[in-house]
Amino acid sequence: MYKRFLVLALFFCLSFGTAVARLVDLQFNRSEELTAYRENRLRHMEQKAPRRGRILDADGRILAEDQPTHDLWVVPARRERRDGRIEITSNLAPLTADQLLSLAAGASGLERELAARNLAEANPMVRMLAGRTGMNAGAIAEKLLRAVLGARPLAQDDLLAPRPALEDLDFALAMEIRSALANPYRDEIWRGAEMRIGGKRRYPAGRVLGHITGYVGKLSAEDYLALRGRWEGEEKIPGSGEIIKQGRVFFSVKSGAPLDVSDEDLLIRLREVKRSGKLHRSQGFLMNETVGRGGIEQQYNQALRGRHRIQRLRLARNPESRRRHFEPLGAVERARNGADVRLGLRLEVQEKAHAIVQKAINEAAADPLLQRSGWQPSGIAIMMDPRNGRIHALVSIPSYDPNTLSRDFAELLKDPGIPLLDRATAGIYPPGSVVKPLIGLAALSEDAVMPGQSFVCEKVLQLGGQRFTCLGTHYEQDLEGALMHSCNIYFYHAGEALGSRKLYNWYVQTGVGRKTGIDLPGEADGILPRNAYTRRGWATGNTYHFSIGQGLAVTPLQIAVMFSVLANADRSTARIVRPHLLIPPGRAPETPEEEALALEALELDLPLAEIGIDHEALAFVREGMWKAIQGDPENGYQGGTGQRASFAASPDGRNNGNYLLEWAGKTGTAEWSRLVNGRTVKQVDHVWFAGYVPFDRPELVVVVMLPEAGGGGGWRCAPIAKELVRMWYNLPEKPEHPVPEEGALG
Amino acid sequence: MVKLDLWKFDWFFMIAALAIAALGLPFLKSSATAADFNRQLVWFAISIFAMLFFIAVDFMIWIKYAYWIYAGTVLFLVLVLFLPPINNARSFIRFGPIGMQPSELFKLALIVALARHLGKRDDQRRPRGLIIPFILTLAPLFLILRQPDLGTALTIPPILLAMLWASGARFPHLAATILLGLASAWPLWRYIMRPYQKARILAFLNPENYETAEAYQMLMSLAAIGSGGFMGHGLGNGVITDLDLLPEKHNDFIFGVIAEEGGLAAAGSLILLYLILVLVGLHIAATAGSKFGRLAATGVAASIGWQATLNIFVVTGMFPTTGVTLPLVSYGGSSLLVTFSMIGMALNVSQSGTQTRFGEGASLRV
Repeated sequence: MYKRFLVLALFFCLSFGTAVARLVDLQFNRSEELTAYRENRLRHMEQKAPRRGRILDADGRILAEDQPTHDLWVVPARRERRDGRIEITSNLAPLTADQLLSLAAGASGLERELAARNLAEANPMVRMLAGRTGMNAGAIAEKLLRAVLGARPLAQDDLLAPRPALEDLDFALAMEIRSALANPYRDEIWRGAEMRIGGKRRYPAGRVLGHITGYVGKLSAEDYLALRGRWEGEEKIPGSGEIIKQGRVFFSVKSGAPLDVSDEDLLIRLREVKRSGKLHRSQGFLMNETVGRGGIEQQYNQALRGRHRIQRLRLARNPESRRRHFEPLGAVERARNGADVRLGLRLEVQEKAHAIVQKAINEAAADPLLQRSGWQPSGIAIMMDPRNGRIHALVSIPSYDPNTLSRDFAELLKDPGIPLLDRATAGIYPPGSVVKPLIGLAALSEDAVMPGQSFVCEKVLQLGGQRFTCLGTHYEQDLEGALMHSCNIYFYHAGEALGSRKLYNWYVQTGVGRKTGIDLPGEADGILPRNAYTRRGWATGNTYHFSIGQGLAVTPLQIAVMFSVLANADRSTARIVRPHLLIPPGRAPETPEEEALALEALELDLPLAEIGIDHEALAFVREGMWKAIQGDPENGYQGGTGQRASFAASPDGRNNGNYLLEWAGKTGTAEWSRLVNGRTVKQVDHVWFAGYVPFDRPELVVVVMLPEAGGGGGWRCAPIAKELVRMWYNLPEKPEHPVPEEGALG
Repeated sequence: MVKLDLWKFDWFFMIAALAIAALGLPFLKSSATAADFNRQLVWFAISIFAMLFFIAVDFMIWIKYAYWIYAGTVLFLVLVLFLPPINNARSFIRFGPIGMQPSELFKLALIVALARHLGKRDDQRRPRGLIIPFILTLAPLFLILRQPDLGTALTIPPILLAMLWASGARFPHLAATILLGLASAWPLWRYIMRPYQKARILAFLNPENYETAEAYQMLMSLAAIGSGGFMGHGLGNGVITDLDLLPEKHNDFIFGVIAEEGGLAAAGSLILLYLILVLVGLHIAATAGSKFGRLAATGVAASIGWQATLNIFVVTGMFPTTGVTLPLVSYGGSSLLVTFSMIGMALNVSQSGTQTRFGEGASLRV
């Protein structure tokens, strides 16, 4: 019998032994880690956002700036003394504090919907706001709930902190709420409400610069976690192990110290992709901070955001009053306003270019042919300085207005015209004939074709059973003539003589089919088939297509880079430029952010790679491009395919009245087809025009492109390019990058 | 009526119990409000008297009236379900200033009832003999689960198992019932457990998903224990205790306070004292002069030992958070009173024994 008690005794020896072993583990092995974790829990960070830097144009005009707004904040619950106990009471009647907590702990969609409906129907504040703002009560309730619950589970104390509910209230309403709140006998209606001054981003140029400025948004909890995932993947966490997120702190349970992100909210050190360079190298993002999305706002976010004012605090208890409070821990990290980002373009030029393209698109849209094909009106225009890659205008229509983006976002996503796509840098299209000057240059430079050599065009070139056609019957054509008439046959032969591998080389070297490196996020690569180089599954027919700009896809910006090579090549050794928007700040940099910007601008201005271009060959190609627009009057041709861009007959075609503007340019009409139900169906052509002015000392590259507009590049695009150049040379004055005004805001 | 055999009286048992309570008191003072601490002192005094009372009264009296005591307690368990809830649970009955938890009282009632039942019969080696003890235990358990008080409910079945074991039930039968009990976890999870109870278990399994809510208490407790180190921060100097970061610090989580302020030295000693208490309790049972006494003492030792184990496991993060108090230390009047009463009863058993150490009277019939 006694054995039975020994068994029981053994059981308790084991269980208490386990408890002691656990204690030893916790209090010896993990003591340091857990103490550090405790310290983290006691800490809190108070932060205040600085003014975000402005975006300015070359003239100092404001393209983006912070504007103060009146925001309504809500404290979801309050402490109340009841029967000697302190209880937490909801400020959002009819929801109770318990209800809010259980919603936050993970409610079904239905529960949440129900709660929103209750708020909308019975909460006096929501009803009041709905009446005053004209917004739907349900929408306000939903916003309120989203603000209160957020994306994380809540603790009871979290309910006592104010959080932003409605932003940018109208002034009269804001003042009314403020005075109501100031009234000591204030209404129950505004219980839990608080007015705060916030900021929103204002973009005076609106949709004209939508793709360039981009927009800003709050770093959401989801982004935050996504960023964290990236960070975990890329950064080695010391003694990495399982990571616990406790409140706003991350800490590693298994192995080591709490992540030395040290302070509560600052947790993400994000390594950006190599290319985005210094500005993104190490970013500590704060929860709920404003970040740029798209365009310059995203590209130069690190410079624009400045530095937050940060005060680290630690929970402590006053030994006399026995009250808990946060006491400062270390010195305040002072705020630093964001740096202004200055762009090389002028708002005036961009606006006018936008208007010109828009007008042309509107006219094209009236074309019955295009109406029948269901054209989504769109167009691209690029104006760039070929000498250094400075962008003067970057138009992509349709565009979006960053001021109202958050409101219209759902619609923009659904729009079949895809206004969120920046077609100039991220749209890819077959270039067609605009690449012919490059092919000619390559053939001549590589001595594949002699400068005066001609090929006979009989409209069709037979290769085996295949027919490769030309637009017309041009008979004997040399390079200049072929460029003037855009004769395919010449380039079929030239391409064949050159070989697809060299073709591929020249495309790559002049920036076709790869990112140009413009300082805008989301640039596309384009498509350049590697088989042209490896020749796997590559036939002569492919080379033919390849040499007239078919079988590859480029962004319009790549064509601008290619033409800047053509325009630039005889200045010294030919180099590729990198298109860019940023230019150095107009004064000596003062903050680290400004310094980084200045360095970045300096680097952007440098030409990149060297290319072996034969200057003599270039002269022939240019002559051909001249003829493509101005024609060959000596031989009786009044114009080439780009005739409609010519200023020859225009009385205003003078550079400030000094000399007649002469172009070098090339049109392009790219055929393409789409696979529909397994059958290739021919689509309406993409039409191009690219060129540079003035002919003898190029200072402006113009690329115009209308996707799926048909009608030929010479017909549709050349006149637009002409308008753009006319506008450029008739600007009232062209200040050479003045210093922007300072302190225009706050 | 008071006839004590002080030679046979097990002083070790009493001293261990008083030492546990004495070790706990300073930490209770540093974690509870002054009012709560004073109230607990009063309860402490009452409980000592209760212990003396139970020492003095022959435990056979309780065995004699065991079923009446049992029935009365179950009545309270039913009654309490009709009272307004306090903190979302219907577990308290208030008599003016005094609050009483019938579920605590039930432990004592169950021990005497089981001792009476098992002591009178000798068919525990057959499965049929297990039916009535199980009904006696499990039926009121559902009432306790209805309150809901999962913590207390978890402390009860081991009492039954220990007493059945001590009364000679066969191992395969008990093992089978344990397996059956574990299998019932699924319907329990599916139909009986409340969302917050489930969340606690989920939080225990993956704390990172329940960061600020259900896992908070456990993580805070771990931080408190870990930062205590070997000697602790000293009484009243525990950072987490002082800053009120550990909920229920004077109650279910007082062990965390002891480990933070007293370090491994205090917490380890406390565990050692519990072990001594349980082992001495089992010794009382083994040497008890009657089968009733043997069973009652087993029930007492198992009840206190199991509850302490469960509480320490919860506080050190080895078991999901359940509301189990640390016997003799946690704040709470009825728990203290009932525990000291049980100890008094066991002490009475200890001095009434006639049996020698190695099972000579094991087959004694009453």
